[in-house]
Amino acid sequence: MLKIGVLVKSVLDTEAKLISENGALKIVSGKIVCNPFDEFAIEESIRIKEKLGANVTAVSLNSTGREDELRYAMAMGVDNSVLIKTDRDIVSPLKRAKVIYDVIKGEKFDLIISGREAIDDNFSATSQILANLLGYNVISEVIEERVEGNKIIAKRVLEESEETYELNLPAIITVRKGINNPRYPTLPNVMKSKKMPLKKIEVNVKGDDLSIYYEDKPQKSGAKILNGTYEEIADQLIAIMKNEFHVI
Amino acid sequence: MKSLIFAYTINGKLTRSDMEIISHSRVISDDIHLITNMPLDVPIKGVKKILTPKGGINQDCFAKFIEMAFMKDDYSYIIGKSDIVGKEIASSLSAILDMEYVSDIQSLENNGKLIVKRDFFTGKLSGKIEIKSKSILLLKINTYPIKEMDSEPIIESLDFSCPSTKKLLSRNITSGNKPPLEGAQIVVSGGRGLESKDNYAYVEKLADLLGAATGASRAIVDLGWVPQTYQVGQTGKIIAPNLYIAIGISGAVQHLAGIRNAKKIVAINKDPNAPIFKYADYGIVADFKDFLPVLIKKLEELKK
Repeated sequence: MLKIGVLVKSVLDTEAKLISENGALKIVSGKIVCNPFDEFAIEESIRIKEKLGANVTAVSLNSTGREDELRYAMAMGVDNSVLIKTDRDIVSPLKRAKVIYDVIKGEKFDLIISGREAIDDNFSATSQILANLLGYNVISEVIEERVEGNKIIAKRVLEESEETYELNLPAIITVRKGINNPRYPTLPNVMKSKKMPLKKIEVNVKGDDLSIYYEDKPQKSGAKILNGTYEEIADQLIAIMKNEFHVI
Repeated sequence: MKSLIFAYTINGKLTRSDMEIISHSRVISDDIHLITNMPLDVPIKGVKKILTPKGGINQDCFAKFIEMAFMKDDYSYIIGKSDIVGKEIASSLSAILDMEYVSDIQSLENNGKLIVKRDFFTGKLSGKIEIKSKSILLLKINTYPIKEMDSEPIIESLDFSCPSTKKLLSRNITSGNKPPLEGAQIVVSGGRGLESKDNYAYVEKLADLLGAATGASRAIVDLGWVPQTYQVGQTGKIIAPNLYIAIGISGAVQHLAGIRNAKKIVAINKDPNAPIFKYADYGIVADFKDFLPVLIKKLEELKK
């Protein structure tokens, strides 16, 4: 049977209010959610399971021991989970990938799916580095896929083109919005997920990490509203585009 | 410091953004070599050496070619463009060479220490990272000015090939005559305030006159008025044009996440309380159906 891994990251939601306090991250308000792109990855793994039969394992890494997003993935239809609890936060995608690699290299996944990026650091690197550590084929930004025997056919969207590739399994794909509409777990499945198998592995991280000095962004002060007749406003706007923005 | 800049091309031509990266890399490096996946139609200036394989090679093989070049010389940094292919190549190099990699770099500071700056939390905060060792650095496109460059490169053409486990079945160019959203200097976007799918034609018309790319809010993507590839925002594209024109877009946090690095924003919305006005530089409180025809006519006259 096909063995699928899906990478799930717990992140601060889009609405979170964040500021810098002497270079450190300060969360003014906000809640932790499943990285939105990873929801597409979870959904896609379950669809493959429903179509072809597969065992799906969700894998997450954090330093807090938080299980919620893995439970959520299992409520959606994932079979079991692995939580990698590190003794400290890791920012570097190379380091994150190495820690995940050490834990999952023995799992022999045929296919690993993750979201195209996490909305906290926006690196879009960890799963791709992981693929290279595992020696798997990798393709990012997938919008359509089908598994056929020991191959996966994946269509992906680039800035100026669309490409369809055929890759030998094992492989890692990262998926983007548009690939599916993630389901909402039913209440019975949410209840059931609380008792589903979750393996917790503790890891002590060695070596230096990237260190980030956060800075606030300049605040916008609000738009200058252009007034007058439509003719006058159009003239003002054209003058602004010409003289201030230099775009025409 | 010696740097190796990689540029992946599907037609042997470098783009404006490649030139941007080459030009700006001189901030950290006085000895720049360029490596490409196929011979260039026109060799460029501003680098000391250009390394190319004799024939064209695919992307996976290109990563191995870069690795080979990196091992043979004493480079401090591998530098590239922070686009999708750039990130795939960089990830592969990061794993093979065991080197840290930082993407989406918006500025490079070099005062004895190399500090790179990039956004975190989809543009809510920016963050500075000190680069302490040999690293892979991907620079965000449409961010840096291109300066005059004159040095003539030596061209080194090498035999290189590798077996492939990944087969390209098809490739369609989707941007057509329009510039792609990422890297576009001007973007015109529409939202639910357009009222109907047909009215997206206003967005296209204005974009056409300005040589702009076209974008959309999530609302009208979900309604099926435009393809998902048009979506600007948290789960769509994160863009940094010089000018962003938002038509009938209210300005949800998720949408704003995609335009935090737009240099100037003009919003057209009939609701004076739309949140987008808090965020824009200039606002026009008007029904687009009344205002845009006037603006479009004036721009057409200007073109003549």
